[in-house]
Amino acid sequence: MKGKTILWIAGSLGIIFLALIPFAYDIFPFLPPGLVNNYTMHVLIISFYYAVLASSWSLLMGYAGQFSFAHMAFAGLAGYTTGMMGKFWGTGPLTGIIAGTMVAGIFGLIVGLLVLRLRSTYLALFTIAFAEIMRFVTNAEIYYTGGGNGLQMDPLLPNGLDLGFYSFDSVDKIPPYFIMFGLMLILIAFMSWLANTRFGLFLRAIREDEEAAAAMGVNVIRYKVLVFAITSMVVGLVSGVRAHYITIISPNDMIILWMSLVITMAVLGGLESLVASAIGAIVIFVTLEYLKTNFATTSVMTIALTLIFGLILYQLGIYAAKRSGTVLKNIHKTMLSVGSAIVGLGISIVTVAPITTGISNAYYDISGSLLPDQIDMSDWRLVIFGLALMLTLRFYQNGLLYPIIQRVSRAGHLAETVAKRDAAGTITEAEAGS
Amino acid sequence: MHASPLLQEFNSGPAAIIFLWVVFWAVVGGVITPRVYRKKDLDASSATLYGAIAGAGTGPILPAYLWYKTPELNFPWRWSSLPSILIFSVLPSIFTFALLYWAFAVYHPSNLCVAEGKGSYLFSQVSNGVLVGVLYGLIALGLTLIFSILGIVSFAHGQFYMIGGYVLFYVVDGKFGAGLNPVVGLLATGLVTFLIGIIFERALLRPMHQGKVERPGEYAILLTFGLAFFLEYSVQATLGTNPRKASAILPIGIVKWLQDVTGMPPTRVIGFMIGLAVLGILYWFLNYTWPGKALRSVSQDKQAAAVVGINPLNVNTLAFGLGAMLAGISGAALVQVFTWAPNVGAIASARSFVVIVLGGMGSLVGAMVGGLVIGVVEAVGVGCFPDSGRALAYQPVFGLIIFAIVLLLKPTGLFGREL
Amino acid sequence: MSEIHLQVNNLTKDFGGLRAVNNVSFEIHGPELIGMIGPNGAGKTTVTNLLNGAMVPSSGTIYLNGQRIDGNKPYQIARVGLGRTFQVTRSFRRMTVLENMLVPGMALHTTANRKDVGKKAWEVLDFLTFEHQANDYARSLSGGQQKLLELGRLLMLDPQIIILDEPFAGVHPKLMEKIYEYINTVNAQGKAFILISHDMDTIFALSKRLLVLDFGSLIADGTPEEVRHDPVVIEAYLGEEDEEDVPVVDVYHMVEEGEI
Repeated sequence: MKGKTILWIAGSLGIIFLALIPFAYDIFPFLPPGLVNNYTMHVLIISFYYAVLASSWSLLMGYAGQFSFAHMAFAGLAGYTTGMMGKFWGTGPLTGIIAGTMVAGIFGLIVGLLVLRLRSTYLALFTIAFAEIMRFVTNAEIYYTGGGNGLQMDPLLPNGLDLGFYSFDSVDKIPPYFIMFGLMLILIAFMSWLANTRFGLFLRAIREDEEAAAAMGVNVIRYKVLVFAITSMVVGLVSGVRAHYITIISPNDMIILWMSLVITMAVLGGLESLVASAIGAIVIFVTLEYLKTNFATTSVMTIALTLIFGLILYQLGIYAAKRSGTVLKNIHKTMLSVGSAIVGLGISIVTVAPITTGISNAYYDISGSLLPDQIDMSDWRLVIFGLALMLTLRFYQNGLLYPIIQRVSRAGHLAETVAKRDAAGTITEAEAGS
Repeated sequence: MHASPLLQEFNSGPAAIIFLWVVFWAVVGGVITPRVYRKKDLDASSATLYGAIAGAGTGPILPAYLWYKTPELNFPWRWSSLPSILIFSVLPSIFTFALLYWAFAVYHPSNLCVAEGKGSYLFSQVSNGVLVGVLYGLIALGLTLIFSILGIVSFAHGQFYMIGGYVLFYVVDGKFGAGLNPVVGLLATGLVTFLIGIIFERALLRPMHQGKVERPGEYAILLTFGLAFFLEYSVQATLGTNPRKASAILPIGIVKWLQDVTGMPPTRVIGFMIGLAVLGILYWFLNYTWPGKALRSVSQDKQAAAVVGINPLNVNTLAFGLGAMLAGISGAALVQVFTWAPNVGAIASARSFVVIVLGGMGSLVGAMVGGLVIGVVEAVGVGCFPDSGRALAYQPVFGLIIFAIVLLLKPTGLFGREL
Repeated sequence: MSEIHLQVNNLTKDFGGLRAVNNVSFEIHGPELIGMIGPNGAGKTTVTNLLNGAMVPSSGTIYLNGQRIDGNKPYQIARVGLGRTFQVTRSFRRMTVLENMLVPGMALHTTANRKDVGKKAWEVLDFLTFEHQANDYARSLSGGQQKLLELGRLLMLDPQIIILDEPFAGVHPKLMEKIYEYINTVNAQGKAFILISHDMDTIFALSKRLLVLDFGSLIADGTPEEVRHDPVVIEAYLGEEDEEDVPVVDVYHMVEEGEI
């Protein structure tokens, strides 16, 4: 119980923090200027969008075990529905978004029905094909969709918002911020609620073993189709809102890159927790946005060298402990990793100048041009995230955040289990012995 | 209501009737045939596919025969099953194409593909498709090899293809690269992609086969997906997104001679010949060398292979490296045909999925046949699409649609075995 | 609880040209304890699959309490009151023991509420003396405990007829006793059992009635005593002598020694 209380308090604080960001200067006038501006707000709004995407993908993949690449396609479908309705029939954003949600849900239902027979790899392949067909068609049908240039649409609040005591115009960031933020909270709460009802229970049973679930009385087909439809509707809803917020949608919103980003977010946060993957999404998206600038070559080199030296030192430490027969506890490992990071940083600060010179000389010899003194991180940040995805999968299969949440919430439980088991006694031991 | 302005110059009414006839009977054949087979307690796994093809090609005629006689529809790859393959798959497919061709000719009479006296245009499209199709087949061969040994589909396969193209370009190209001999380029390509492949397999995929991973299937998909991400953006970050195109990799005299003799684009012919050579070497490797035989025996029976002293873990590594190398060399052969950018890998991946699903996962022959089919379908599709502006945008879609249909009708593909 | 009456008429299943189950008919009245034996490939598991709806019979009918159930989906049959385990245990590995138990309980009624089902789950866990592991993940259990978990899940489903496919294979002797106890207690509570096992000793000891399958046909149906002396059964097992099948020895052993 105590662990759960801590999580509730932390979660509420996080929500309050995010809710207060737009008013940062009203509350803390001493904050440095430029910390919170329209760009920050924009980044956060989009990160909320990704939070919902990652969270719903967790529901689909982590809970139901349905590996789908079609998420961005459903998002695009909803966005284009509202955009095209606005373009051809002149409907407003609200009507369009609702219609888009419905269309995404219907397509989710159809895809869910079509893929009933397909499992893991085949399912992934089919949904990739579906997503790619959607993207190519929107790209080619220029008359309807605007093709590669995208489809323009109305802003979310075409006439702004008048609250009586204060009015916002249509390009103000505060109304969309709270719309997206509220939607995120509601949708994640809704999905978490679903995940905790019989629905979530059955989905997990289906993920583990379809046949056994059916033998236990679970209507497998119904729940598999439902989870596709529901996650598609959730995605469609936020996608419609996002499209109206940035007033444009284009086929580029559906490329596999964005899908892989969603996957990375969910995996890094923790596939089996809707909240963890949402937090993962916000953290990763904000980090990615702030990495999109140029960095001085020397500082990038310093970071890279720190990582390399730190890892080498850490591994040496582990190896030395193994050789000497010392058993390392978690606390020792933590100390070791912090220590090697600090020493690694020291070594890299000392060596970064000669190493950089060496590399830049070699680069000059090969390419005939000088190594730039600024590195554009826009591509490298994606390389880093690809690497992070692979390493997380290999070493932290439950993600980075979820295990922490789980450990806190189950704190005390482990000791309790052990005590109970000791009390229950014999059979377990006999089993362990056999 | 706005109507698309493009639709008005076409003759859509009569064409739609032919088209709907084909679709109607395909659906009837596809839906009823498996039910009939199941009712008679026969294996219905192929009935949907062949029922649909029969309906599409012959209307009610062949489906009626299928329902009445319910012949065996699983054809092993043998000479004796050739007549059945002809009757139940090749002929109705040809009829289907003929019907659709007819519908198309009615729909758009002035199209180069159907206009009278322009047969050579269609022929050149088909031959272009065949030339590239061999290489599509070769890429997919790598993927299907990996699948048959490791039991996974690598989502990073196209990225190896992309890297292969870049390696050749930078080794051979005189202006941007080292300007070395193309043979050196091909060898370097093979070596680089092979090394990346075995390092990745060794470091990250091997734990999966040692039972250290909770959900192996999903782990493999996610992991290779991460690799694809990593490789694509590493290349983009280091080499930039400027498109590259290699000139023909043989001396100009030979290129001219090839053009005169074959009358086809020489770069494609060169790629085709590289593809054939690699196929020959692969055939020799798989059948006459010890590691090749080990590969084949593991793909047939893991346990038995382990009993006779083959370490399946090492075979896994070898297979992944080889698969990556095949993709890389195909990339090297095609970098002179297509423009190269870091994102060509994603399209190549999608295309190889299409090919291996079409040919049947794990079937080497199927991969080659699938590659040829997709090559021709794409070339003809692009060449004949009524609106040339949209045609190119639709190029990958033709294959993907076939892919989705095959996945739904018969997930094991044309030559696939049950999983 | 209503009277249990399972009626299987002329059940047949073909796979392509192979007839896996051939014209099998039997009835179950009331809480019987039935063993189903037969050499490898005799069709025992196929019969189970047909009964629980995982496969559709080629011909023949199955009635449970007067209601026709062949052709129904497995989940429907499970809700009507026929539960089964699998030859290889199939627990929901990444769910806790308690959650494993909740699945059938919640699936049974659309209106089931978690609190009541949870309460029942704790009772079942208590009955199995398993509650100290309620919050452990199923994957962390040993093979024998997973069998126990499957039995617990079945109790949550509250079926009238329980089919256990190889419940004793690879189980620690101590747990084996627990499973015996489980079968006897639950049987005494008025539920019918069909036990499938290769372990002849156990089957002969436990069941009151035996069904013997061979090449998909039901060759004997009677008390263990009758079956033991049935010439057809002896013939069937004798016929396999040169295939080195162990049960031959077992049957003769038991015939000579009488009760085990």
